[in-house]
Parts: sequence; structure tokens; C-alpha cells
Amino acid sequence: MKIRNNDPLDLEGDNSETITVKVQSSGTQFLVNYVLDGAGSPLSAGQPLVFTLDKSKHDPSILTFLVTFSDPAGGVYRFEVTGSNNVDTSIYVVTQSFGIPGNSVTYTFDVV
Amino acid sequence: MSKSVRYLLLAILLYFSGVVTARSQEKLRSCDELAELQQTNPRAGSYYEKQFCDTARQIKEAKSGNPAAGIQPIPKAGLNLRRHFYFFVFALVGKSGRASYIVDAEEARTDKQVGATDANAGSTSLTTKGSVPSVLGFAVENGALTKTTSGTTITFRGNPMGIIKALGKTGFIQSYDEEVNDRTTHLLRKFCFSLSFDANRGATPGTFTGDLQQVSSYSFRYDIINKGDPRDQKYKKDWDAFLTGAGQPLADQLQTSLLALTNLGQNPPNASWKDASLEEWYGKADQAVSNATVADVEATLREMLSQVPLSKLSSDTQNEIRKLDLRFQAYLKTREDILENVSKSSILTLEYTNNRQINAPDLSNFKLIAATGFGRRVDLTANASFTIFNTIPPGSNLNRVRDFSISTQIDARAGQVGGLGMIVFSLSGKYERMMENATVPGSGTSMMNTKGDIAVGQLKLTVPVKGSGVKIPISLTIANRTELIKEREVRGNIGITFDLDSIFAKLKP
Repeated sequence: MKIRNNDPLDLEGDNSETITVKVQSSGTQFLVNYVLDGAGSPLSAGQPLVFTLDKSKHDPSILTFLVTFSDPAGGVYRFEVTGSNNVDTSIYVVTQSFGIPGNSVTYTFDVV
Repeated sequence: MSKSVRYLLLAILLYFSGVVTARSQEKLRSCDELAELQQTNPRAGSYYEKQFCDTARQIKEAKSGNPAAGIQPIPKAGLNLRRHFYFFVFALVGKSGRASYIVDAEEARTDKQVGATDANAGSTSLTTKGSVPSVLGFAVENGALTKTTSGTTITFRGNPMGIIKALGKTGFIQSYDEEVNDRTTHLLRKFCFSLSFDANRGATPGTFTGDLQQVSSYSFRYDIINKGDPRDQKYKKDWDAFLTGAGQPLADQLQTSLLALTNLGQNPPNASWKDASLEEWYGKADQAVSNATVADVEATLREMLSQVPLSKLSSDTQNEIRKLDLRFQAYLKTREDILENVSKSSILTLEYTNNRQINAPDLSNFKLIAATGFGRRVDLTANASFTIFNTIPPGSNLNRVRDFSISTQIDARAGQVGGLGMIVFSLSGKYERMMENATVPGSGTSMMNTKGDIAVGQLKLTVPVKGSGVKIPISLTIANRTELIKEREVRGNIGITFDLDSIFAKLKP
């Protein structure tokens, strides 16, 4: 998996590559929903999201996260995305500033 | 219609037009102003303001970089659909005029006791609140409530575990997470202390020296029940239901709308909008923000948002905005409902206070404090306490129990006033039964015929001050008598309190 355009959310992966996403939270209940190519569910704390890129089904693969902050201030979510082909590690942090209730980020995986 | 009625109607019309104008302007205050408001009320501001300022902050950080975190500055950083899509659709929903919930302001807790209790020579609190600062707070208050002699009391109130963590390397947020996993730390967090100084005592009366002679009281308290934190395990089921019932539908809709509104689903992904008018505006906005200096990001983004071509959006785009509107509404409302439930939770605290008297036996006061909320605007607190003499002087015929009392207080948040933040009105009443005669301060002489009932009523206004965690409580107290004098008494009291939690959370997240 490679990071494109110096953007940790703009990713490129090989066909059949296994992608692992670890999400950690601090200062908030762990409140994470994800949608991968149209299907998703809440994510449990400590449980990584693991999936395989399949060019024949989804290219690009689209992974959307919705994070919610349980407290008025001080929440942080840290995303770490790695691929089984081990080129780059994408790290992205969603910080709660100005008391936002939640936020969303979308990863695109261009399958090559 | 008479002239006077017409003038009155005109005045009302002008007043409300002024209010409406003021509220319209409030929808997007400057981020500095919002940050200042949130120092005294972390939940101040509308959702739109919060998301706007958060987005501006993200862009500023991208431009500035963070060398400590190994993030290189990108001076030309602009808009990014992968990370800002949420904000843009949120803004479009808000700007569409349908979503009043997006401009609703959030309210803050009022359940913290920072100042001294009414047993001191200086106090503005007839009823003691249930919660205290997580780290440290201090208060300077002038004027007694039930004592005959007024003075100035300086109170430090805090949580030993919070202070230890604060002085260590652990951040405010991290420390809370560690506590949840560490039973001992979690238990210790339930204890807290206070130390009050009477500035009129000691070698230099009127000057606060902080020496032992000026210590007028100290206290310890233990939280028997305190469920006022959204991260408490009690609310896990609510949050789980929230994730399934409101979070997931919004997440699903966000991805559906992202694919419907942008070209990120194309091969290769293209970070652009499908709607021609939106894409034209976005291109200009991106260029303007990219070219803006860090200092200009907020103003540039604000200006560009004012130019969103709402009327030119295609019907497909408007349909997606409507779908998102419903999901955002359910998501924010469900979260608010949980937080409202949290705010209604009960607090039960036991407090022991040792009041150090001059030339008289010290007093021990045992107080049970119960508090609960009624929605987001009203809190109810009740106290029940009794006081005993620590020692009985030889030859004295004093009973051990000096007094007992009950009190109650209602706090109502009145709303944001100007740039001050959340003003709180409080109404409090106290009944105290003096089982023994009162002692004259300083002389230790027992004042005859001072046993009996004391009834006190208090009206209090707590005004937050621009800046960090500062509040000014101003109270008017009416009593049928004081401890020493059996005559009606009306007093005005004023103080200043500092809750350092909000400052600490900002300095050391």
C-alpha cells in the first residue's frame, strides 16, 4: 500500500493486498462507524478492520469512517492504515476542536 | 390604536429585529471568540460554528505543519474532499435554511463547587454543590452568609489524583482513560480536598499570607455516586444503541452521498464535485484557501462559504442534501438525548469539614450532598448536615451536637449574554437549627440565648468572565437572624472563582 499525493487518505494498493486499519481513541467513548464499499457497521474498540482489495469488485475501494465524540471537548481518534505489502503506513488523527460532536473521513484505495 | 401602544409595538418590533440580527450574526462568530466562550462553557456555540472553526483549524495546521509530530508544513494546503466532505455537506444542510438544529447552542454543567461553604466568613454558596474541579480551582469570596462577622475567604479546592497527574507527564485526557482501567486510581479520584484561608486572621489581618494561622477550614469529600460523565460505563448501552441506530445510518448516507455528489468513486479517484456549479465554486474556494496565509484562512473560508451557489444546485444535489439533513438531525438529536440523560444523572457526595475557630472549640461538619439535573437548563442540589464540637471545654455544659441543617438550591442557566457566556441564576434556601449558643469569634465567649432557628434565602447570579474559567458569583441573602444576632439581616456577597480544569485541558490535552 502506498500513500499518494502526500495525503494519508489517498491510498493505492495492490490487487489482493490485505489492508489493516487500527483505530484508537482518547478522551471519548470509542464511537466509530465505518462503511466499506457500501457495507459497514460500528467498529468495536481494539478491533482492527481487516479487508482485502479486490480489483474485480471495487476499484477504487472507498472506506468511510464516522467518529463521534461523547464529551464536549478533548476527544482524539487516531487512524493507522497498513498494507500486507508493507510499503507505507498511513497515519491520520481526527482531533475534536471547538466541541464538534463528530467528524468523518474517507479513504480511497486505488487498486493497481 | 393609541400613540403609546403604537410606540410600544414599534419598540417591541425594533427589539426583536435587533435580536434576530444579533442571532444571525451569532451563527458564525469568529473562531477566537468561540474559543474564548468555550473556555468558560465548553459546549458554547452552534454546530455550524464548531464545524467551521474545526475545519479552519485543520487547514491552518496543514499549512503550519507540526515539526514535533514530524508533520511537514504545506503552505499551499487547501480544501480536501476526503477529509472536508463532512463539513461541506454539513454546511450545505445548515445553509439550506431547513436545519435549525445546526444553530442550536449547547449548554454547560453548573454542578461544580469551587468556593467556600457558608460556614466561612466569606462565601457565596448557601448550598454546597456536588462536583468539584477535576484538578484544581480557587475562589476569593467576601461576605458571610450565616456568620455574624463578614470576611474574605480564599479557598483552594481540588483533586489530589488530578493534581499529581497534572504535574506529571500524563495529559488531562489520557489521565482519565488510565483511571477507567485502574481501579485504585479510579477510587482515589473520588476523593478531594479543600483548604480555606481567612485573610483577617494571623499577624497581618487583611492580607492573605497563606500561613497556618489563616487556615479557617479544611475539608475532605468522597463521591459516593457521580454519574455526570458521558464516558461512564453506565452509558455504554446508550452509546451502543446510538452507534447502531443513528451513527450507522449517517455513515451509510455519508458514503452514498459522497459517491453521488463527488467523483471520488471514479477510477482513478477524482476529488471533484459532480454538480457543475458546486465544482466551479469549490475550485475558486480551494484556490483562495490555498493562496491564503495561515492568518487569513478563517476569513477566506468564511468569505468563500458566503458565496456557495445554493440556488444553482442541481435537483440531484438538493435531494442528497435533504437525505443528509434527516440523518444529521437524527444523529445529533440522539447524541444530545444521551448527553441530556447524563446531565440528569445523580450525584451523592459525603463531605467532612473541619472549621477552625479562634479561642473556641473547633467544629466538625458532616454533610451529605445530593444533586440531579432536570434537562439541560436546571439543576437541583440538596444538602443535609450536622455539626459537632471537636472538644468540650472542661466545666462546660455544652452538648456535643452544635447544629443541624438542610438546604436546597435550584440553578437555571439563563443563556448566553453578549460575549460573557452562560449566566446562571440560582435560588437557594436553608434551615439551620442551633442546638447550642453561638461563640463570639476571637473571644471564644458563648453568646447567651442564641440557640434557635435560622432561616436563610438566597438569590444568586453567576457571571462568567471572558478568559479562562473565571466566574463572578453575586448573591443577595436574606436571613431571619445570624448566629449571634436575632435580627433580620440582608446581605450582598460577591466573589471570584477560577476552575482550572478547562485551562489545563487546553494546555495539556
